[in-house]
Amino acid sequence: MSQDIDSGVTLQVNDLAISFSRNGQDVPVIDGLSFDVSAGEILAVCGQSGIGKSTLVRSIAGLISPHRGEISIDSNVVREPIENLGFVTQDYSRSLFPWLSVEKNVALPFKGREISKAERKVRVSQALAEVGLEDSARLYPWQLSGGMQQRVAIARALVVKPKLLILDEPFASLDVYVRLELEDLVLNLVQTHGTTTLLVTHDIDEAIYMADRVIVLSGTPADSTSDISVNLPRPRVQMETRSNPAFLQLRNQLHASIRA
Amino acid sequence: MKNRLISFLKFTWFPVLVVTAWQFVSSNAANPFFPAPTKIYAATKYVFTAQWVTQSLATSLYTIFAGYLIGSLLGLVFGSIFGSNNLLREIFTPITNFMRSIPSPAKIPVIIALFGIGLSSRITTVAIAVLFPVLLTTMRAIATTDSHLLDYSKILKFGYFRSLIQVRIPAATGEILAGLQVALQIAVLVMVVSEMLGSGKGLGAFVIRAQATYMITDMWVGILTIGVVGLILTEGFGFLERKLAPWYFSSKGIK
Ligand SMILES: Nc1ncnc2c1ncn2[C@@H]1O[C@H](COP(=O)(O)OP(=O)(O)O)[C@@H](O)[C@H]1O
Ligand SMILES: [Mg+2]
Repeated sequence: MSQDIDSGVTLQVNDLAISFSRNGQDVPVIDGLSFDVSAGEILAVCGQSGIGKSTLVRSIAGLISPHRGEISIDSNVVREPIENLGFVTQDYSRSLFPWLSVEKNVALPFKGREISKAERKVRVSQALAEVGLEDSARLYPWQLSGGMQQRVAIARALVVKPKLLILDEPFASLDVYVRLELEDLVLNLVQTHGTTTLLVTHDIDEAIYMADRVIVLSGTPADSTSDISVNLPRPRVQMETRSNPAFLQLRNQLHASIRA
Repeated sequence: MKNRLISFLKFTWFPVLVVTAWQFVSSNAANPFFPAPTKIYAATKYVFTAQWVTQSLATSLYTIFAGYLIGSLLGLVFGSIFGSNNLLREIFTPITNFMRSIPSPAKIPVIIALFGIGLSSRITTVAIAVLFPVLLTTMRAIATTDSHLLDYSKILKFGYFRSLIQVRIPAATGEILAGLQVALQIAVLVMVVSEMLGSGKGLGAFVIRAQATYMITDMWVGILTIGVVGLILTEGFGFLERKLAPWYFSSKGIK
């Protein structure tokens, strides 16, 4: 396994169309969406609620199959979830296993992999330390606060050093202090590992703060209306970056395109 | 010490009151069907020394353990399989619902026709009575696993069995335990009824025979013994489920 080579995957979405059947009729949710993400890039996906953001990332994760078009990761067409995929959603309390302790939840991605017990233990404690939860390893998810549970989900996603990390509104149900803290935590981790990252968010400021590029989904069926590069300097620093004039300008630009 | 006394009194005052009232009323009335508790207590001594009674108790316990074990295991296995497979679930749901809708005592004649009136017939009766409710609750619980957990199990690339054993079944623990508990009460009921229907064995048969021969005090000993057996089984179940799935009760804040 080449797990320690720090480089994310490339992603191509090409003419993607997805529909759901509603009352026996096919209702297209996404139609004709195309974009590329380069290795190690952090791409934010914005758009109004119900527009199809989760549908898009779930298809990239290999959880739903497109009706037309193609998703390729490192030039391989996605038909099922790729190995070592990091996936974090808003509903942390529903995707952690309440019957397993924090450390066992984080160790889940290792089950059956060719890695020694000792190494697994080291990796799990590393991941827990990275999210600041080394003292909660033996606790159960339901004994933790929302922010701590989401840290567990982040540790679980990052423990296998994923080459693609999908975050679907990861901070949406957390209070603002925890949100800012976790934004920096995730940013720091994906940058050190060069992980290609898709961040779905309805928070424009969060998108600009974290991403290298922001795309906006709009329309029914949805496609991408704008694709904006964020050329703010890194490392980003919460209050400093957010008060940069370029930040404010990007924010206006994005607001306009979401409303459009 | 004082707290212990209070909690002891909290649980005992009412039963003590009932038994005392019963004692008082029955020793002043001539109704032979309600012997005084002191009489029933005195009767337990000779009733339980009679071999026939201890054998009845042993037979009943054997029936209920074997029947419950077989029925709930089959229910869990088929419930898990049907619950995790849409086609099988669609095929078997109507027939399962129909089978469950026939009250267990009404199934007994068919079972007697097939297996006679012996021990195996009674075990089968209990097993079938337990099977359907366990199967249906398990099936529904497994079928309604949270989509987030199923998504995550796909991302971990778990196959069918791994996802069933490591995700769907543990996630269904609460509902499955509730189903097993209801089934335990059904098992006691059906055991007694099947013993009453002409088998000549078990506590149910003892009660019926005592009643038929006007051994009313003995009948009461039998009824109360069945009550105690049921209570011990329910308490035992409660103890076991807390050993098996402690996380479930703590996560729901149930003490
Ligand atoms: N499994 C599904 N079946 C039917 N319709 C769905 C399903 N999932 C999503 N949809 C519909 O697709 C649209 C986009 O949903 P979603 O991707 O969750 O939006 P977002 O994440 O942007 O809020 C919504 O109208 C939603 O009702
Ligand atoms: Mg969504």
